[in-house]
Amino acid sequence: MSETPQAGRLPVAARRRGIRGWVGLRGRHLGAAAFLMNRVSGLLLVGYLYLHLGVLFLLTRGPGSWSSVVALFKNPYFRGLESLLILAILVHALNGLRLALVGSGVGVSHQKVLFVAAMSVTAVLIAAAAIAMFTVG
Amino acid sequence: MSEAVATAPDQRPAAGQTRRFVVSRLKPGDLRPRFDDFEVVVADWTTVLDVLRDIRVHQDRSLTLRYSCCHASCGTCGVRVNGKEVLGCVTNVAGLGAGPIVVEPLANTPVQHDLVVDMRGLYEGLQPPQRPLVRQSERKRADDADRDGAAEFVRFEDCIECGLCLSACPIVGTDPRYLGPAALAAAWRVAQEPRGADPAAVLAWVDDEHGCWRCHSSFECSEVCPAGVDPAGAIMALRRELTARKLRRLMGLGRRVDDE
Amino acid sequence: MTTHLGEDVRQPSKARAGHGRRGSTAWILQAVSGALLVLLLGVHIVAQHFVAKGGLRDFAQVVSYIRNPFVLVIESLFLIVVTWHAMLGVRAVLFDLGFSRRAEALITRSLAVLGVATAGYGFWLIATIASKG
Repeated sequence: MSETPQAGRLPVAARRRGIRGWVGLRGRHLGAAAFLMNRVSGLLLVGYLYLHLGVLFLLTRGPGSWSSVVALFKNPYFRGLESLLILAILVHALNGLRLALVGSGVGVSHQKVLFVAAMSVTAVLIAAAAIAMFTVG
Repeated sequence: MSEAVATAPDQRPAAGQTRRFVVSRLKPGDLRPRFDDFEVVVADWTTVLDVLRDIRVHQDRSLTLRYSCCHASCGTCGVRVNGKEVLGCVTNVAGLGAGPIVVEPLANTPVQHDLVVDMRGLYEGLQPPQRPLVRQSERKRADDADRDGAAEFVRFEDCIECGLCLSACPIVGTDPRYLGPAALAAAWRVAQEPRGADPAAVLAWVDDEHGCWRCHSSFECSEVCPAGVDPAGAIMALRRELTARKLRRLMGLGRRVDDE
Repeated sequence: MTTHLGEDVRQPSKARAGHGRRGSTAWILQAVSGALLVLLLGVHIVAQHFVAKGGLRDFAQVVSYIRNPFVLVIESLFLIVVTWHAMLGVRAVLFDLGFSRRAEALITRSLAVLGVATAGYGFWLIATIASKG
């Protein structure tokens, strides 16, 4: 068999789909969607972790700085953002539990049902959280 | 392009539907593929492989593809149809929904000509486990229907080495060090049926950050496998086995995984 | 073994010493820390959003909250586990990109340093806030 013509010319990365293979869902199924959702939510949450730790710095400046931040967070726009944050947390946590189970070899044949269950619980909890978020205080 | 009728060698459909096929083309020297449009009249029973062969015969002689048995046994005709990995010989065009049908070569491996890809990555990955080709453990399962009255039969390996799983796996797409679903499934077969040999070497081989622990459970490999191998299940079984051996070792009950 | 594409693939070998960590350590830690977080993060969110009157705590409420020894332990544990899980997660995503063994060792070390720094900053925050008011 002759050598692949492109093999020498293209870098290894070019022969594989790369990150497009994580993101492109055409022809893919529930498990791939779950994989992508966990990846995206996880990376967003890492970003949020640092944002949050940064905001908490204001607490070291005293009551004045903190109360202006709290007032900002009670703004409906921010409550909306916080609801999205909780959505990301729920998706990542509940699908994450599914991954911990299935990835240990438990319930492998039920992986799709587990995903649907995780997303259903997410839907219920995010509705409750959003309602609570907008009605408290 | 002139219209042509997709045919099996000795059958012509009485009536058919014209479908548009968008086929990836790449020849040696090309840096990236282009797409060519073909219109083909298909019948209820026409498969994607029928269409590709017909295009080659009646419309474009230069279209290059691989096929052999035409009944999902050899694993040669793997392609991506509308993004999903399938064996062209058993993929019915009528079942693909409306709209143009995009046909591309398998992903995550170099394309040689049009729909023909370099399969050596798959074969090289399958060598280390040395999977036995004929199962001794499945002479005839109790739930197997009587095959034309046969008293017993020997089951060959499920894996037909088609490479669809490697194309579908998102991690094979980014990690050249990942062993991949095909090799891992083969390793599990060896662990299940060692035949007197010690599967420890193979188990130690998969017990790696780029072995069975790299998988992120997308299950795409099992979704596209045409032969019922269930590589995802095999990967999880390997993890269970490795963890059980580890626990036994911790409790002083078993040998280490890679003990001589 | 190097494949025809120049990619490095390990071979089965009984010569592996088997000492030290295996491929499973990171995965198991991630799963366990994640499971713990379902509890710890749940407690954290409820405590910060839905307990104090008005939802979010004002300055004085934050200080009295963090001075509670039970809370201090839980939130400290939460800080450590969430940072660990985050670092492991980033590491997993990076390792999926198939870097060399040397690069992977560098990634692991860097994320360990980042994780310690992050948690350290978090503990500094806790100490500073608790000493105010």
